[in-house]
Amino acid sequence: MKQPERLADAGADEFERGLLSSSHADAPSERAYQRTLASLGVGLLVPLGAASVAHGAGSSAAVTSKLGVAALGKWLVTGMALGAVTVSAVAVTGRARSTPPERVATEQAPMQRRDPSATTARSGSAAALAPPPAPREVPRPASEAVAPKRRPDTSARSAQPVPATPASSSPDGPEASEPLPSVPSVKRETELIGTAQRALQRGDGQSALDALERYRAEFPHGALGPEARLLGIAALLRTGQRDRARTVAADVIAREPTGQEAAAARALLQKSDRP
Amino acid sequence: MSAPNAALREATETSAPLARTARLAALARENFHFIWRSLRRLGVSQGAVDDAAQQVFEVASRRLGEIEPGRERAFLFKSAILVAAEATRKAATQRARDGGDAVDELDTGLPNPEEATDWLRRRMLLDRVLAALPVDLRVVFVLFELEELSMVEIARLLDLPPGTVASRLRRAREAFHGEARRCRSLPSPDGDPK
Repeated sequence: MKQPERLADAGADEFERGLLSSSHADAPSERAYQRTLASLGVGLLVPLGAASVAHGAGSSAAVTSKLGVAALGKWLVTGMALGAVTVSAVAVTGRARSTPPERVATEQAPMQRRDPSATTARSGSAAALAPPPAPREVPRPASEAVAPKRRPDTSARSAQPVPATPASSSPDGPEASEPLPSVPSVKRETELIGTAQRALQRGDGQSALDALERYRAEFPHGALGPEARLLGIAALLRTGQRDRARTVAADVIAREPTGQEAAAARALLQKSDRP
Repeated sequence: MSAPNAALREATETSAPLARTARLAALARENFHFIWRSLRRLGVSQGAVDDAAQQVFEVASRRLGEIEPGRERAFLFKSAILVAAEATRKAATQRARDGGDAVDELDTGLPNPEEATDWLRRRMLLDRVLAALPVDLRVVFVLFELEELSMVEIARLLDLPPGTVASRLRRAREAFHGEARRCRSLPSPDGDPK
């Protein structure tokens, strides 16, 4: 088929070229992309920044690389943190109703996410923490879900130098009789994790580590343990502690090699390995 | 059931969701920017395009099994055309209800106000020119002139004979020139004809 020349190259006058070139800035925001990924439940499978690199959306590779780790932490934390709030609510509800353990799907209805008021809410100061929660499945009973127990080998864990991973130095999860976290405690957890995440976004890995240390002290069996561990890896990488980051990541991966947390840990390491 | 068959069934049951998720992830990774841009250029306002893009991919997610491998982009683009039509219809209804000529807010991303103003005006005029084209012409125009696909790619994407694509592009260009001429005569905000 004969390929005509583009109008912008031949046939358009200056005014028309101006119109056509104004479309060059058309590009989605990273948040829009992440939001869609979250709605599809595939966020962890699509490395952050991949699309902008692949499609030449104007970001340099360096910028993408720099933002990638922080953005991954951001996405994970926000999606999972909001999910944890849901988990907490489910836990409280489950306790009140004495329902038997069951799989709880907490996928948010797409039309709810498209609600203009929801968009407005996300555009405020909490925007950094407010992409919609990824579709989540909570395959544990409520009483376990709020304080995940994923680590069978506690002796190995206690030997790990993992200062930024709140659950890492704790013994096995809480006793069955341990009280469920209240909504305020989940809020506090989210605040601390948010502090770490924002510090990472600023490139301040040390402050992120400090915030995670506080988190670990206050919530040794916190509901946001996985998020804290992943942020810990990112913060260690940010502060140049690559070996310690690898140790933590190896621990995360070993615990549940095919899980989402392990996939995220791998992604963080891979991203940091890129030149 | 024999042990090998049971193992096969278990493997299939285990891998099917993973394969689906992986396909969905690839679908989003490879097409999100293209679909977002296409929606914007097919008339979806800046304020509505994020939701519209999400909607397109959610449709694809629901109907993933029906999408022929290798035809993912075509499926998404056809969905985008429908979603864009619906979004622009709703926007027009809303404008009529509000009795105004609501101006879409655009995030220029440009630090210089003059640059931003100039770019904003051109972008809004482009929206206006494109909106005047019939949808079938607009689609081909957008894909060729803005997305810079080849004629063959467009024909494949739209399932159209090449001759039809060429014909639509020719007519779209004529319409574009006509609308651009009309817009050129519109006064700029400072009162001068552009």
